[in-house]
Amino acid sequence: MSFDDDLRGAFTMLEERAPTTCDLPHIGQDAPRHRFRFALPLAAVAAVAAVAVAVPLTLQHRDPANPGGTGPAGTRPAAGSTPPTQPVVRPDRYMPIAPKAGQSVRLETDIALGPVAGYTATPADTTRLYQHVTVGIDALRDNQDQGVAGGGDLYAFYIGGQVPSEALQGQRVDINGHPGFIGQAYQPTPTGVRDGDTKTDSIAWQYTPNAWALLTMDASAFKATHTDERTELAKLARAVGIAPAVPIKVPFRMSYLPPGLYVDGGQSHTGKATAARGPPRTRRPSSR
Amino acid sequence: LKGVTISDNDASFAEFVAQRQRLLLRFAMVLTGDSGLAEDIVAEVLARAYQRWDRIGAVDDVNAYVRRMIVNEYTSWWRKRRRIVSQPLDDYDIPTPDHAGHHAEREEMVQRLARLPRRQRAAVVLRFYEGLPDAEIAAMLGCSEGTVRSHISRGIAALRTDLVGDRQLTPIIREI
Repeated sequence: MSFDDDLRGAFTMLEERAPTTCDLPHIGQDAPRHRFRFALPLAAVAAVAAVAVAVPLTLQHRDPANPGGTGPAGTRPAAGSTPPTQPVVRPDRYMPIAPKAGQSVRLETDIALGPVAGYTATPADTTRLYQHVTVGIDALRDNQDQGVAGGGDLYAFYIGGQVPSEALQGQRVDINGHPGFIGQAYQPTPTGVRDGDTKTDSIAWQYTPNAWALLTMDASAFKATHTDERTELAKLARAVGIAPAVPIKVPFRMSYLPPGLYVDGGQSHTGKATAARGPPRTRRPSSR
Repeated sequence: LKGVTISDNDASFAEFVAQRQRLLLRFAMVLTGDSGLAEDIVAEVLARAYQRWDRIGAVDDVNAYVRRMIVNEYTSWWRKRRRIVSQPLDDYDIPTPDHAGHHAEREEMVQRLARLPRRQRAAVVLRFYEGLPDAEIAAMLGCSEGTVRSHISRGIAALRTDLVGDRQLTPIIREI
């Protein structure tokens, strides 16, 4: 690749990260000369700085319909979110490299499920270990109150990141030329600490060199839809790829945080992001 | 809307925004490398443009005029708000080269662009992204054509610098 190609590629990459809309003046009214767009982000930063010294802090968008924050999360899309659409999986895209300790996580979802009839994927959350997308089974969308799982969960670990080792002991399958294993796995958690002892049917595969993905789906879903579990898991895994990044929208600006704090993750459906305190930054030593 | 009168001026502005907003945001994103800043700059520029739309809407090339406002806003943005102590998150997120060759190289180029001084970066973007000649870039940046050539030459030299050496030699400097 030449320098020109790299430069044009960088411009394209930046274009694709551009926001799609911004605050606009109210047509038909006098546009305010002094605007206070910094008030909210600065208030958020001040709140983070005040509290985050002691514990990792969660900034949560309050749901007006559920002000106490109780009940199932993710029952209402965040403001400004759009209905999920089938992404175009791009072979020239790559997952971000696993963030190092103290580095912020990009609040975006790069992993995507290409068009697979009967399934709908929706970005769920991004943590410092993985990006998580829920995979809903269309036929079971309105049938989740009978003990049947309405879908599964797709986790894509970053390049050079976690390997779902316990899932690599099942039946070996080929996924787009990469090794895959159909078996059982624990549900990943944002902290990497196992939550419970229940394993779920899964397929784990290397979706790109040095990066693994895990798709978990309860067997009841396949029974309810009369589909073959292994065939469906492999079919879904083969449709997973990287698409143009979908930003995780939160109702406050996370572009800037006080030194020492970093973005730890975010959720699409609740409009919630987590900031945590990281190790002090040190400049790289100069070699000369 | 009931009780709200939309003048021709307002309609003209609304049409411009509908047609150009996304392109302006993309241009601002390439220029700044920061989606939040791009959003703020375009919002700021459109708010000011709306106040003077009776005049701006009458210029020959409205799009070029508004882009020039964006460039000016970008090159003066931190001068206006230099008291804000902040750390761009992208700074934490420097990727290391990996097997994903082209992607990593382009990501590195994005990082190198982010390190260029504002006017150098603006000159490089206006030349290689917008394809403008020296004279137009000079008019946009309010400097001579010689200065434009100097900015571009230095910017390209910095972008060509080997990344490993660049990282070791260039400390990350925060504006305060």
